[in-house]
Amino acid sequence: MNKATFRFIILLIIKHKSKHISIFIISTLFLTLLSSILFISSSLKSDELKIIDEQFDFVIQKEYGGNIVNTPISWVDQLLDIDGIGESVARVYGRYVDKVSSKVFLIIGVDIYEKSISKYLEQIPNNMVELNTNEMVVSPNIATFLKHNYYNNTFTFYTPTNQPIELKNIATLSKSTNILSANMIIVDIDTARTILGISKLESTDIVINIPNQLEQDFIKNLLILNYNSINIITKDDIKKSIIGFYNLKSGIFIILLLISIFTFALILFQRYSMINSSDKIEIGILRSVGWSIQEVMVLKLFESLIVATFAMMSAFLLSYFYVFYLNAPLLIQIFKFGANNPFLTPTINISELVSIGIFFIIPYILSILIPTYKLSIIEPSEVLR
Amino acid sequence: MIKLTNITKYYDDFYALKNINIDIKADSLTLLKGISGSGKSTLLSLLAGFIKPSEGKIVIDSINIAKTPDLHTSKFRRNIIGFVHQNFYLFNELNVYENIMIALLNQNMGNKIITIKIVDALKSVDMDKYLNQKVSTLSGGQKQRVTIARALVNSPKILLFDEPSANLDYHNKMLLLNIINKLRQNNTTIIIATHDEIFNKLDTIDNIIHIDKGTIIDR
Repeated sequence: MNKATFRFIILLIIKHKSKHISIFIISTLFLTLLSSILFISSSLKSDELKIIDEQFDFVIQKEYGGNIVNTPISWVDQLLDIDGIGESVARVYGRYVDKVSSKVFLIIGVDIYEKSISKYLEQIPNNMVELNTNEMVVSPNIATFLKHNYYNNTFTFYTPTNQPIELKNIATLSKSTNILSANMIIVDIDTARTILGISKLESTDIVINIPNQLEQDFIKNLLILNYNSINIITKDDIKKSIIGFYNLKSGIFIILLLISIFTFALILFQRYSMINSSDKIEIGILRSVGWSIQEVMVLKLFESLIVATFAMMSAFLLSYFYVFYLNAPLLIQIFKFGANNPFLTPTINISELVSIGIFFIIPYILSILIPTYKLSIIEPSEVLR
Repeated sequence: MIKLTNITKYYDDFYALKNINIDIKADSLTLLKGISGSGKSTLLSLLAGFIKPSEGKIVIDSINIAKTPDLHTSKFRRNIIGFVHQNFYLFNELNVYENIMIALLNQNMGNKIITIKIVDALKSVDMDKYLNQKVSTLSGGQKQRVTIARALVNSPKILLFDEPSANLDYHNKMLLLNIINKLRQNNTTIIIATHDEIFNKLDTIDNIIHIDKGTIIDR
């Protein structure tokens, strides 16, 4: 395409601006919504998968009568005796409900001398290395909650036997911490036991690492045989459930939006099918000065491609801004787990964007080209009559 | 140069043209005369390749355009034919330059060549000073001259005029006659479909063909 033809296409777009503007606005809105959902889903999914990658290979829980109960600490050493298990750590964590506000906290007990667990502390500001029994570190949303509802830096927990424990908030986790830090309160492991009512002989669960991936299935089977009252959650199980969760959530909305896009394509088709006399004359003039049907179609293809591409780019930029700068207000409610909105890390899945583009551009262009073709094959003298 | 043999054009059971046989020599000027609805415009449309005849042959420059597919007919129209419409058919939103440019776009020409051709075409109708003026601001006569310039820009061998004086006042009609007289010096075959007697004032007329109800009644 030479410069003059490009200039003519731009002139045509300007000429048809009233027609294009309405279509452009609707297209941009649709695509912004669609790509925002994909951006949010990709961002949350990628954040969670990254975190899961850093976690232990297996989570081991004790079952009793079909229910999950606290796991005996003695299992830690027993597990380490099994060949192939490289690391075995007891974890203490649990939900704590503040009766006054009904707010649910996630209490994480950490032993700062336990290297694998203390990585939570890496995200604590000022490289803190010590956490006393009367201190806590909270996630940004909990910090905000405490600031609004309680005294800034203290909170009183009640043990299952109703004993009060006052903890001082000494730091807040960085805002860039991922979705899993939402509602999180990090405390010393013994303090966590007291708040959650877990004895020193028990833990919430035990996590183990199996350095050789090929041995994982074998060890899993061995553990099931040795401990028949055991529940094993593997890292892959968690990953699959996360992927499944986001695919389901975003899938439902994408299906709904695709139905909307299909409807939109029909509207477009109707809009462009209502060719007025000016459109007819335009094609008639081109045909009468020697443009073939094919050349008219190519011209219209480029005209619609420019509008569609511009709408698509605008939508992608808008959704990027909406999701990663504004943290997707309203739309994030679809994905949120608890009462808090997670921080969205910019993550873009190019293949998903390309899919959106194809799903949008094909019906868009067809809705323009079909009526144009119908008109182009009419004899120019008929069109110009 | 132009040979129409047994041309018939019908739409359902309406015959627009019946058994037309015409020979037109190169560089000649022909007037197609007749009342509205007599078939003049249909004949011009056939010559321009806008429509195909129902029966018969149209041979122009050794090509039977009655049988060529769209791609070839379009190429033929672009290179051989210049068509001046009664209603101008210009893009009012564009300027004079851009309106004429349309006829050159599908020929892989550079901007410089396009500009030279447009200016030359506009000079031949004395409209070169309106190059960048919007068509919507032009008078009827000026629009007519822009239409002629667009028809001339590809240096066609054949110029077809369909009722060119229909929307013009006397002054502009006289200007149009002058332009046509000048064009005759460029070795162009000119065919004018009209019922306006003013064209009898042209310097030289080679043929006058009278059409009525789709048939030639006099020549």
